[in-house]
Order: sequence, then C-alpha cells, then structure tokens
Amino acid sequence: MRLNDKALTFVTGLVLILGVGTFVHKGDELFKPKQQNVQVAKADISSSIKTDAIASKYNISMPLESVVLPTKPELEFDTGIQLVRADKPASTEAFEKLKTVLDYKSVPVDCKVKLSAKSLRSARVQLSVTAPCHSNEIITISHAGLRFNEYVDGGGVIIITIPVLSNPAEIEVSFDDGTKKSITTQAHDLSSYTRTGIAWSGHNSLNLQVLETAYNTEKNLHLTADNKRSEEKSYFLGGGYLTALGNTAIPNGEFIHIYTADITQKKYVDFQLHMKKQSLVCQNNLELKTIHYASDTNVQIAKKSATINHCMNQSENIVLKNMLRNMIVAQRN
Amino acid sequence: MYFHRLISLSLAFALTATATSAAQVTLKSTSSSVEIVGELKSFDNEVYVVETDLGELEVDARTVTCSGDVCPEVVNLASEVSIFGDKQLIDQLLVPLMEGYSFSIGANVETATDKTGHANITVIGQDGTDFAKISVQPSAASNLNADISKNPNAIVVKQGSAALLAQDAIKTAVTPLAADAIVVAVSEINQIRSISQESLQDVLSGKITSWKDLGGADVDINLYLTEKNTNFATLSKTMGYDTAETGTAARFKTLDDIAKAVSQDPYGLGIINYANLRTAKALPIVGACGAYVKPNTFNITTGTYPGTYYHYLAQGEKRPPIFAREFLSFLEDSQAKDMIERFGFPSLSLQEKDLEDQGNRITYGLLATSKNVPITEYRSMLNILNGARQLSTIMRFAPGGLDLDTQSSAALEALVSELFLGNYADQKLMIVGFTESDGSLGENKRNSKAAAQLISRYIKNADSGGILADLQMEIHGFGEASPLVCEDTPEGAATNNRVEIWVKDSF
Repeated sequence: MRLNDKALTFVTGLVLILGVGTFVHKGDELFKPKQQNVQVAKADISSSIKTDAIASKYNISMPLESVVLPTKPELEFDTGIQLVRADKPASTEAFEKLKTVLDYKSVPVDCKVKLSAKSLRSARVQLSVTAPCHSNEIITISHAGLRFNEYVDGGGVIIITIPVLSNPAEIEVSFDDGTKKSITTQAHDLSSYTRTGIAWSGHNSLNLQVLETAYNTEKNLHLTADNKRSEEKSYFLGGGYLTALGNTAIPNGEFIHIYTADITQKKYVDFQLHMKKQSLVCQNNLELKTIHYASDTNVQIAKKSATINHCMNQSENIVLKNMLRNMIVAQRN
Repeated sequence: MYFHRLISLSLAFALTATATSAAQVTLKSTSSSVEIVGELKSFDNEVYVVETDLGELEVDARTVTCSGDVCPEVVNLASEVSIFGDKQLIDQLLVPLMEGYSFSIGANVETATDKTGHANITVIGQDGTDFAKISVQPSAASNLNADISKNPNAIVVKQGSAALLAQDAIKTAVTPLAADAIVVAVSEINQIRSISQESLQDVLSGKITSWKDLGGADVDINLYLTEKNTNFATLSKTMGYDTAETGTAARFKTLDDIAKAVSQDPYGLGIINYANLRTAKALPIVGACGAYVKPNTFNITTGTYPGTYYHYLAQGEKRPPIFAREFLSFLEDSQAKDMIERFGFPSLSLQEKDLEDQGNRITYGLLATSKNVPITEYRSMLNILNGARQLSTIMRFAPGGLDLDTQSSAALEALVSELFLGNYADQKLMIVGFTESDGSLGENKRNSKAAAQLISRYIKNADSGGILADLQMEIHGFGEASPLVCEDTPEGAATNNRVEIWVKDSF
C-alpha cells in the first residue's frame, strides 16, 4: 500500500486529531460525551504523538472535545482505532494537513497544561492534570511549600487527591522542562481537621507510621503507607487516615506522608518514622520537613535533621520516635 | 511579617521624626521604605536607641539598615540563646513553642539533633539570614542553678509547686509556662474511682500491693514508675510522692512510656504528670479529711488539686537576647496558650466553671469545716455565688507578706488583660476571699475580705487609663466557709487561703 493510501485508510471513516481536547478516563460520568462516539486512528501514545484534530467517517473534520484513551497504551489486540467524541467540525485547513502519516505526526500541537481542581470532603482536593506534551514524564506537585513527584500517564494525565493545608489551597504543577501551572481552589471544612506529616526526598524506604489510640475503648489503629485506610472508612467508621503522596519508583523522588484526624474524635496519636537500614542513612543525617496543621492555624513546616545512631543494630528497620510530636485530638477536660 | 513588634510600634509615630546632630543616623526598614532619622544614643548589637523629635525610640537592628557617620559596625545580628532543662519537657513543649513563635513572625525553623539529644535550632528570616541560633541542652534539675550561673543570659526550664518556686534560689525574672500535676494514672477500664492520700503513700512504700486494699479485685497492683534519677522523680519526691524507694515497680525512662504501659494494663498504676496521661485515667485524690479533688484542667490551673506544679522559665541575671525576650512575651499571647493546651498541658488561659459544677466543693465545705460556721454565712455565700461563674484566676499570697506569688501575679495580669479587652464588660466582677480554718471565725472573715480588697486595688492600680471605670466590682470575704482541700499539711492550708474571681450577669 502506498503511503497516501495508508493515510487515506487512516482517515477513511475514522478520525484524526487536531486541537487538544480534555482526555478522559473510560466510564467517568463527569466526562460523558455530548455526541455519539466516532472512531479515530490510534495515536501513537507511547511516542507522544499529540492528538490535535479529527476527521470524521462522514468525511468532515472535527476538533475533539475529548478523547477516550485505552486503559493502557499498549493494547494486546491492536485495532488501530480509538473512540473519541466530537462536538463540531474542524477547519478544512487542518484536515488538509493530514494527508500522510508523516503529516499527521507533524501536526502542530497545543501543549498547554490544563488543570482542574475539585474540592472534596475532609479538606481534600482532587487535582486533574492534562499535559499532552509530557506523556509519561515526572510531574512535581507543590502545595503549601511541600512537594511530591508522580508520573503522568501516556496521555499526560494524572488525577490525584491531595489533603490540603491551606484555604484557599494553591497547587502548582511543574515538569522538568520548566513548564509550570497553578490552580487555586477552596478547601471544604479545613478547620475541622488536624494534620501531621513529613515531607522528604531521596530515601524511598522511609515510612510514617501512625498508632491511634481511642479514649474509652481499647481500639488501636496502626496505619502505614501499605495500610493507609481510606478517607471513606475514616468518615463512616471514625479514626484518621494516612495519605502517602509520591511515587517510590521515581529515583531520588520527593514524598509526603500525611495523617488526618477529625478534631472531634477523641484520641491519642503516636507517630514513628520507620526506614530500612541502608548504608546511605547510616552515613548521613536524616533530613526531612515536619508538617503540623491544627485547626484555625497556619500550617507549620519545620526542617529537621537527626544523626542516625542505629546503624549498628541488627534489625532491618530503623525506628525514629521523636522527629514528630505526638498528637492529642480533642483534649480531655 | 517579622517586622518586629518593637519597631512596628515605634515606626507608627516616628516617620516624621527628625533631629540634627553629629550623631545623626537614618534607619531604613529592610521590608519597606519607612525611615527613622535621629541621634544615635546607643547600640548593643540588637537594638538601636535613637533620640527623635518624638522622643527616644528603640529599633530592632534586624529589621533596619543604618546610614550615617556614626553607624556602628554590625557583626552578627542573630540572637544566640541557650536553654537548659528537662529533655522531655523541652522536646514536648519548649521546642514546639519556639517553632510556633518563629512561624508566627514569618520565619522558618531548622532543627538539628545530635546523638546526645542536644538540639540546635536555627530561626531563619524571610530574607534567608539567621534570626536566632538556639542551643537546647538537656540538663538535670539539680544542675539548673549552676547552668544559669555559668550562662547568665540563658533561660532554664524548671518545674515546681508555687511553694517551691518561692524558695527557688533563682530570684531573677520568672515566666510561668504551663500548669501540670503529678497524677495517679490507671487504665480507663480500671473500676477504681479515687484513691486516698494515705493509700497512695502505702502503695508507694510497698505496704499496699493488691487492688483489694484499694476497693478493687484481689489482684496485684502493677506499679509503673519513672527511673529513680529522672527530674520527675526528684520533683515527685519534693512534692511528697517518693517513688525512689518502691522496690517492686517497673521503671521507665519516659513518662510517656509509663502512660502507655498503664493504658494497656487494667491492673497497672503509674505516677506520671497530667500532660502525659495519653488515654489513661487520672484518679481523684481524697484527702485525710475527706476532701475529694479531681485532677482536671480547672482544678490544676487553679492550684486546687494537691499535686499541682508549674513549668516555668527562669532567666539569668543578664538580659537575654532579643529573640528570647520576644519569645517570653509571645508566651502571654492566646496563640501560645492554645498551643500549650494542644500539647496536653492545662494552660494558664482563663477558664470558667459554674457553681452547679462545684458540688464536691460545696459538700465538702459544709461537712469538713472544723468550727461551726453559721448556716447564715453559707446561705449568704451561696446567694451571692448563685448564678455566677468562677474564673480560673485564683490569687494566693507569697508566704509572710502581701505580695502575690509568681503564679498569681501572672494570673492577675491575664485577668486584667481580659478585662481591658472588654470580655466581661457586661458582667459584675465578684472578688471573693477565703481563708484556712486556723484562727477565729471573725478574724478569718475580716482577713478574707481584706485580701479581696487588696486584689481589687491591684486591678484598679493596673487601670491607670481608666478603661475599667465602668466595671462593676463587688468585694466579699467568707473566711473559712469553703475550703478546697484538707488542711493536714501546710500546703493544704496555703491552698485554702486564696482570692477567687467570679462573674455574674449584672442585670
């Protein structure tokens, strides 16, 4: 098949892409297509081809409002087809540019980073990032002077929930090439919660461990990064929850572990830091930031360093008890 | 933000101040275009004292740059502060408060702790320069007076009852930090509701070893105590709870560990401080005469609970650096008091308690007085206090004089601040004196009223500006009619000699 034929096959009855839409996750009701889905040629997601315009199988070109990406870029059964939705026709000029596959790949791309933030219960914010020119890259998310790293997916998308520390909550995202964007949103009911945590970089084996002891019962709750407990459970069953932010697969990444408690639930909370024994730790001071937010105050972030003197121990883990002060929620009378 | 209190007060009225002399300097604020022009009187590496047309001003050197021929060379503006004291208290209360203060002035904090527990805190201003360098050194209670002698501009953190505080060798400025108390801690599920002073002493001396003797099950008491050489053990001993000689107890390094052990052991009994109770329960203490006092924040703050003591900061003879002085001033702010409460300590901020919540006290007052106080006296007292709320401000006088003790001075100062803020503007303030039972009824009644009058004079003297001119004040004295605790010890009698503040709707 000649190249032009290939291109024709590409577009015949299908769609190519122009004009970045908002990528959505399959089945997400919030992004329900307004029009009937049409099919588009598969964009080479893994190589960061930027979808930008479509041509419909009805022989008209259309810009996308959104593209439904496959769950994983590399499908086992590769049809070369994706579902998209379209709202209105694209320009003829845009369509003309899509004569060949090569042309398709060189279509001008709108690289704007788009952010949206949705305020959630328990003073959390659901941040949605769409960065079409940064697929699979490391993203740094900053809030209240603290940062953590994650990977965006092949479409340059990440949706993540962040327990916030200020109201209004300003959240900034940045990429390694210096691209930055920020968004500010209101946080629900921040003054009803107290938060304690740590932020650090480098050691991916560091873990905040939380031991909650409730008054008047013998109920203890042990929370770790592997046993975080959901906000929903906390909301309906009582007790706090731990949020671990940051991707441990990122080398030398930045992380935040933060515990949230409802100030009306009377309890005593112990914090410990656990880390796997590593030569790196033994030879250096441990450096981190402690985070304390109590209702109606500004978040307090302090830099702490401590000389680790546990290296001679035979145990696998190093436990640090005094880096964070314990929390008394709802003081006794 | 961290444009210092000192200068922010001064600058408000110093903008146009000018003076001309050979010693003229211009102090320009680093964070704005505000200037002060005047004659430089002195500079101590912290504060410029400048004579201006509007009078003498003190300007914090960290917030201005000086221009003029006589400007002194500024070597290092960071305040260097040394703090000595009990490690656990420093970690639990003082360092977080220092951090809190630093944040409140917009500065950042970096803390480095070495293997010995010695911490160096650096407070960094918004422009990145060091604001203060604080060296925090754990020290035994017995060494603190020596520490402050060697470091005359240091601050030491001490613990003691009001009586012990009065006898302290350190006679320099003292700032009360928080109230606290030695408490008998048991598990929340322990069925025992109170313990008598006598039984407690028997438990500590090893005479009582079973819960049966305290009204519980026939099971051994698991006693949890602090190690013998800790500051808390020393304090406990001076306050009549000698834990050093108890042979069978499990010993712990920290009070937090004792609380943890007690919380998890239904047959455990620990001696710890109130602030470290965690989820354990503190038993009310019943005095030899039957007085029953609950260890709660009100009774501790008012010094009614027998094991009450205070954490306080004492300064050396030399004026501490500016950062330390301002930190001490911050401790009087409600922000600091809120933080202290959050760390588990009964703070010194004003609390209220209705008469209806004082059943124990009224009952005990009627049952325990040694002399026959006429029923008309009780009726008169209850008639006056009915519908009123008691404030946690209680004043007691230092032994042998009419000077208020340190704790009471701070409490009175806090009360006056509240009154100035207009918080009780529509209320009637009732100043009510009480005495111990020693002495005749008439004499005690007169003395109690005289003490109440003295407090009213202190309040009036503090109000030189006439802000409280419309405040309705009533003075009452009820002698020995309402004792709080047993008087079988001198400390008990001293607790009952007091002036209370009550407030009532004025209509």
